[in-house]
Amino acid sequence: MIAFLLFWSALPSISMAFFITPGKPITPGQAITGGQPITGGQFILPGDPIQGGEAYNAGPGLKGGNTSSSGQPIVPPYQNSNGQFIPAIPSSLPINKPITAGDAITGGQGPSGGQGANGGNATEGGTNPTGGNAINGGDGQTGGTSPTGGDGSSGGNPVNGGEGPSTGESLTGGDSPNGGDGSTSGGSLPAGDPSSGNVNNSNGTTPGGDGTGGGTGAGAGAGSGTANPSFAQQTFTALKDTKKMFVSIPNYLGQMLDGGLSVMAGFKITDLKTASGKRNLIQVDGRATAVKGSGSISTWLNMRYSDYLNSFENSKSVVRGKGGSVAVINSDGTKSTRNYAIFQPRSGSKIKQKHVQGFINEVTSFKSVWTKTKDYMKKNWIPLDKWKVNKDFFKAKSVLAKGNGIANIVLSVGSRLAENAADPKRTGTDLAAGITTDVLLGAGQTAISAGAGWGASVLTAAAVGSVVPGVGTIVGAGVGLGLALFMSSNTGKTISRKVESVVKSGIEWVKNSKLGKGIRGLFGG
Amino acid sequence: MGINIYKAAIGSYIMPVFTALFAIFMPDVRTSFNYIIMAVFVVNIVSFLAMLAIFKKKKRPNAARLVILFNMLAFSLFFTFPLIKALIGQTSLQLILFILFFVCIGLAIYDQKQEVPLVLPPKESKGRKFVFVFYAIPVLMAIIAGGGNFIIVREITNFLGQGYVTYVGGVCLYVLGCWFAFFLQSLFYQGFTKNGVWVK
Repeated sequence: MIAFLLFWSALPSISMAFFITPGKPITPGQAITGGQPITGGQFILPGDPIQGGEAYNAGPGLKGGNTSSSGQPIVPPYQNSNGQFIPAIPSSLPINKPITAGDAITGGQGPSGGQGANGGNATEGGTNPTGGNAINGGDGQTGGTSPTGGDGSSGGNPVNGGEGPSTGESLTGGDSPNGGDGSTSGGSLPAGDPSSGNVNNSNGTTPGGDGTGGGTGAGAGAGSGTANPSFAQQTFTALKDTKKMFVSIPNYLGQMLDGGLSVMAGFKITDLKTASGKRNLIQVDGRATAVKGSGSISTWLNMRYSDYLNSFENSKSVVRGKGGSVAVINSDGTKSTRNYAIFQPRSGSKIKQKHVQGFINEVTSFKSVWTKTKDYMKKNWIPLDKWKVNKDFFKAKSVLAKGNGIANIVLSVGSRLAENAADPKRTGTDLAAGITTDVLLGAGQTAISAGAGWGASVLTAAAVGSVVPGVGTIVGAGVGLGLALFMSSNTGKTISRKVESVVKSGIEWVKNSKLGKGIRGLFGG
Repeated sequence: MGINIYKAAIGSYIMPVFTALFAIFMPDVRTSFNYIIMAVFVVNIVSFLAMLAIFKKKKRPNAARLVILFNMLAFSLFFTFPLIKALIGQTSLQLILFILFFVCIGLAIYDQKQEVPLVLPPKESKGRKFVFVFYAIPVLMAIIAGGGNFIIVREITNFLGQGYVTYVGGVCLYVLGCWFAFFLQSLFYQGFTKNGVWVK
């Protein structure tokens, strides 16, 4: 069957193939020639330009708080009261109130919300509350998007009202946004007082946030509290001024050493009693060096002796300088030579008294001693001069940088800070009073010891007939040493405490009174 | 030098006042030392008046010079009182310390009679090996006593107690007083005399 079917279907094709014979080959025709090119047409001339329409003139800007155009309908009277909390005492506002403001919706003032359409202007008005947000106001034009106005200082919500105009239901919409927010909308306008909690206002949603804004106000109060640091700053500024003097002025230990070296070297001026008055001859004695040897210690001691001789203001008449050099090791380990002047007495010289009178007065004159002591005390201990403020007293360099005892300020700060740390009851004023007391006691110690030293120098010269400067130096240092111990005795501590109490009262007076503020001005405070 | 010796003599009474401050208030104990202090001042005043009355006019400046010396010695003496007062109840020790002070004055005179004295030795002298030790004594005392810095002393006292000021400080002041007595007596002796002879 299959073979039959195959045969039946294929046979006709096979039989037809016998009749197919190849035809004649196709001969190629003629080549197609190109046609004429298309010529360009005429250019199309543009028509008259379309002239732009008139620029859209923005309507009058909505003035802040001018709710008549838009806000009024939205803002119920109650809401106004809500909004006021922002400029007033934000923290006192209960957060819940805005919720109650939702009642405003019931005000039915929604209809007037139609006016909200004018609220388009309100977009610009948005500027009122929060300036920059006014830009967002532009969005407002697009329609209720102005809610961005809400972005504004919470006032944006009323703008939402503006959306309403499109449907009139906007009012209800306004309510919905977030209920309470709607209430805040009223507040938004008065909220123009960005003074408080601007950031929170930008949220515009939660009055509670405003409360926090109020908190920032409190922060300002904290600012006033910075007065104390400024006082401390002054103290440390004064310390800075003191540093140089602290390094350069020898303490009583150094004075004791210098005086001893001077006497060891036999430095003295003897009255030869050759004539009366200034024509009288005096003789200078003293070795060039205090100790023999060229070791490091000997060199150091002799350098101290040299510096001591040069420390007198009128030393040139009795001391001469001689150049020298010494090998020093630098910080990087290398060696170098430093030139310096070695001072030594004009030993053996017989000089007319008039030439050395300045030096003699410096170390022996009662008048000189009294003047120096008086000036020192005036500058360091007496705040009033002829019933006027003694500016010298308040100059940091005068109070903190003069005299050996005053160098103690550096130690005093450390000591008093530790005292404050140990006793929590002590305040910054106590600290300042403590340091000031130490300064005053140091100044007093210096003045008394210097006076004793000068006195000893005068008395020696008067009784012995020779001026021995080293005696005054040693005696003065001895008195200073005794005073240091005395101030740590029970009596000394009592005196110190009383002085500190007076100083503390003085500081508080300076801080509080008008005259005191004037005095603070002297410090630049 | 142009210094009025009589004014200087009167002014010299101030010097013991400085150290009388230590003698009266250090340490805080009740003793009869205040009477001794007052007695010293009285003796110095009376002796000045007596010498002025006894000395002839030409020699009266010497009375003034002596009074200055007395007052400088009183200045030195009061340095020793804080330690002597602290040893209240130990009379023998107090007496020894008193005597030691006056021995120092005697030693100064003895020393000045030597060829090479400790205080202001001759320029060309040799054998000054003890001189440096002598002048190192007050420096050493100053180191022990806190360098004369009252804040350092206060901190040390807070750490070690009041005994530091009373005893350590007292010893320092005592040694310093003896040293001053020796030093000043030597100085004045050298000025007053030449080989032990009164020359003024």
